[in-house]
Amino acid sequence: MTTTIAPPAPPTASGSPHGAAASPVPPTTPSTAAPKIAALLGKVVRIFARIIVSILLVLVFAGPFYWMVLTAFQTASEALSIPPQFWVDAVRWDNFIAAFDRVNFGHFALNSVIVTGGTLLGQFLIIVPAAYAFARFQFKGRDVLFGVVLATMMIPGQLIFLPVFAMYAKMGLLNTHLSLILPFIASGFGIFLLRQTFMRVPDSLIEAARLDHASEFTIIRRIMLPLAKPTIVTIGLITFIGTWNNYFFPLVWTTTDAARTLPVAVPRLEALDEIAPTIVMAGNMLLVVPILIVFLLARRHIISAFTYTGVK
Amino acid sequence: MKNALLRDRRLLPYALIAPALVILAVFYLYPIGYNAVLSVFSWDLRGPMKFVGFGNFAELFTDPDFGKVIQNTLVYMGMEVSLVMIFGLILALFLNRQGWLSEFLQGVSFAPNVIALVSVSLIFVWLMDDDIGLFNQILSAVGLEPVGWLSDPQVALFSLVLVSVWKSVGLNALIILSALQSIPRYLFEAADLDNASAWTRFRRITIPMISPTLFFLVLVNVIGSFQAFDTINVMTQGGPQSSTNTLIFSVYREGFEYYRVGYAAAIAVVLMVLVGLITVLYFRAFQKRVHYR
Amino acid sequence: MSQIELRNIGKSYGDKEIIPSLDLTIEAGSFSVLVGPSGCGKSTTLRMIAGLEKPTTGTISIGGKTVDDVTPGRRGVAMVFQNYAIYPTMTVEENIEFGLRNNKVPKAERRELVHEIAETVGLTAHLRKNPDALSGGERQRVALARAMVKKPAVFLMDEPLSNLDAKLRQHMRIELIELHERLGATFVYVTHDQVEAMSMGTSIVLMDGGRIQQQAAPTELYAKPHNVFTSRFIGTPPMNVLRVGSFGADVASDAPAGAEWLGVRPERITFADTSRPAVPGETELAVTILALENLGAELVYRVELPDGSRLAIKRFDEIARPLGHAVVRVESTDIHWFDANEERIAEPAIPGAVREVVSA
Repeated sequence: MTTTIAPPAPPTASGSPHGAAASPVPPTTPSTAAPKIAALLGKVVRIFARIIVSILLVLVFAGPFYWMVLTAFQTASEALSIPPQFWVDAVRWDNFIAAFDRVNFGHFALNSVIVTGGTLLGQFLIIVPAAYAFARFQFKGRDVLFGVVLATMMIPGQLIFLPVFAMYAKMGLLNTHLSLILPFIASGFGIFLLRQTFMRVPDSLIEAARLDHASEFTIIRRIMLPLAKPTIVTIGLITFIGTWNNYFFPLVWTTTDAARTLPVAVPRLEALDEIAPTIVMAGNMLLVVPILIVFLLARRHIISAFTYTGVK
Repeated sequence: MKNALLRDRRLLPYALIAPALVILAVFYLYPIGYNAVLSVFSWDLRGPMKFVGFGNFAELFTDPDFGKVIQNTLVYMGMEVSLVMIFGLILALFLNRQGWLSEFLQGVSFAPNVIALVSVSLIFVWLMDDDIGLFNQILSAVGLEPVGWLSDPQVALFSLVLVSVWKSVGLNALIILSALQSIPRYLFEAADLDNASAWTRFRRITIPMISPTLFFLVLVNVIGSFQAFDTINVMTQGGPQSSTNTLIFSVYREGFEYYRVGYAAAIAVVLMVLVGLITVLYFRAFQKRVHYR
Repeated sequence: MSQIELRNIGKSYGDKEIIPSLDLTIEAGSFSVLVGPSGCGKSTTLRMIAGLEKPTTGTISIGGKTVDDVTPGRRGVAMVFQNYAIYPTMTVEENIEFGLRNNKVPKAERRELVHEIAETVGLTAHLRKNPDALSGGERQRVALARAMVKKPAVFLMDEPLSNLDAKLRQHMRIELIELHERLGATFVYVTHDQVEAMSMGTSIVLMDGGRIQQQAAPTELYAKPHNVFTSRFIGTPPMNVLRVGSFGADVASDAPAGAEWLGVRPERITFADTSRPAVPGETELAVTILALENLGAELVYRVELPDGSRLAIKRFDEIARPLGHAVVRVESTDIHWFDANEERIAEPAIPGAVREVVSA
């Protein structure tokens, strides 16, 4: 190879990075006052644009929530005023009282708690042993069976509500809490996530425990679970939010109010056919506020739980 | 004693996974087969089931409205997925920096994602009201024609897309953001030393490095878009003029409002095939071009 | 040829000051090695030369031109990163070509240059491959090729060999020395490994705490360390640095004014040859051998002096001695003197005499 060394690489239009003729580093803008002011101006403009965009984002994402809260506390005439009123003069609870008069929210909220709690508990009991077995045992058919678990993740649950409904009808499970819990406690996603965590536990730790005569149950309880706590919390948060908010299944797998949950109940207020949906918004807040409080308290954890699942 | 223990240990893993597998089989695998069976029967949930062969499918494909339903489903998918991805990427790039402001905005843009879609739908029904909704009030305040967000057949489907994008763009942005932040800094430094322009860095390093995440998100959003139900049921009931009637909503309506279970099951079969087909095609088309580490 | 000058360079991250004030001239065409313990500011210095970090104060020039406002890509430097920073999304060829493409080098010329370099570093067979299909050594070559193809006047290398196994590292050391000879460019090389520094550098810049402790050629750095830190950084085991009185009152009385510490390299201490009496200029010390490391070619003894201080002694091609009492000799010209601030004292020639230290 040629050993001629060019002066500092010339990124000029002439372009050739070698050959003695190439010019050295092109002189950059001399540091006189004018370009400095221009640069400063550019910076100010950029910061200003950033602030504008930030305000816009807050309006777009928080605005609708504010509008819900506002409407929930307004009288119909306030809500209907043109131009729109962006504040209330006095805090009134009339709409909330009206909402409770129309719909027995206590009953539905209790159902929500039972279904959500039951799903969380059931999921824990089903997922942990399964994930442990898939992560820590060699057994015939393991990979095929795990493939089946993964495949169920790809099946959109909403496509099979019809046959499940027919099944429930035959088994007499319609309108029970159990019918809204059972299908979701074996989450393929949860098994997958927890298996990953269990597999990262070093073998030597398990072997040491076995040498200490620990039973499988002890190993799960004393070693695996403490180490998998962050993953379990992640799965728990996602399940909690998903179950609490679920509308579709409690709607299609029930025929009476016996087991229906809040998300099914709240839209019923629409049937009131108000001119302005002040009572609907009040009822809606019952659904939104608890989860929003949880979000505000555990914001970092919830965000990382949801985004973690996306990054794999 | 020793033998019994050994046998125990060999059966133990099966005992541990059995409950999970039974549930998955009963609630995911069996229903797929059962759904296929239902699709060749005529049944109203109460009376006896009557075998009709491919009658349900024949009826489906001769129904002029069904083409419209498929079209709605695909248009919804196309709009929803592309808007979520484009805005998600832009938002992620905007949020990609340190500091309290960025962190605050991350929280704000993520908040809709934890709220029930039903609640979101109820709020937007109010915002999108033709006469007194805030959107049209703002439009007329700045001198624009009001829009029939949910009453105009030309617009309603797009309005539903808008609601869905509003709810999920934050989540998508934050997933893209964590992919952005996992790109090693030294790659950009090497690019700086290679005299790469900002655009070149974005095109040759940023995008290829986050392509697995983008690939994954598109797939998740595509599958998710087929399941959009809450917004339709709460906001439009498939109207106006069936302009927001999608496959999943048809399954629900035929099965639970008109009690034509076999017919609904046939639509579900079509939907399942469509999802499967798109997934497979998508993998075929793009997997090779995505960079995996 | 490009000389690099750093004038009054300071660097802080927030309140944390990494480099207080640094003046450094790197000769054009030299193989300069920045070496020092981790956190000494060597990498930061290199990154400031590259333009990846902005100095808080001071100015840097390359080839006589101030580069403070010049982007990294236009400084005429190329850099090899510790982890190579190979673009994983590009093939080997695209990796090497990337800088040329950004500099708008025409396609035909690009192709020619890439193939020429690939030939030089032995990557021709791998050009179409993805980087993740390469071994560690091959990746290292890609990183080198990517720097070389731009034919820069300055090569910056940030611990480029630290991810290679010992054998490959030794091999690459020689290749880099040859490369430097052939290209004649200025090499600035960062490492924490004194052996790497001594074996490759024509000029060594020894840093600690964000300050340059000494800049010198390897032989001078070894022979005339500026201070205790420098003396103990080079050499394995490091120089024995003891209180002036440790070698006995006679040696202490011969110490130059202000000397607080004396230093002697382990390999400059010999075991007394009983058949030959000590000559003037030699000091005899009675010691106790506590431990012996046998490294094959060399023997390293840990011994204790009568006053309880410890010494390391390195001998070659000798039969291992038993633990216990022994007598060692040190030539006065091999003793380095340092003052209370641990700075070197330019030593006067000591008029030597035979000395005996009564054994404990």
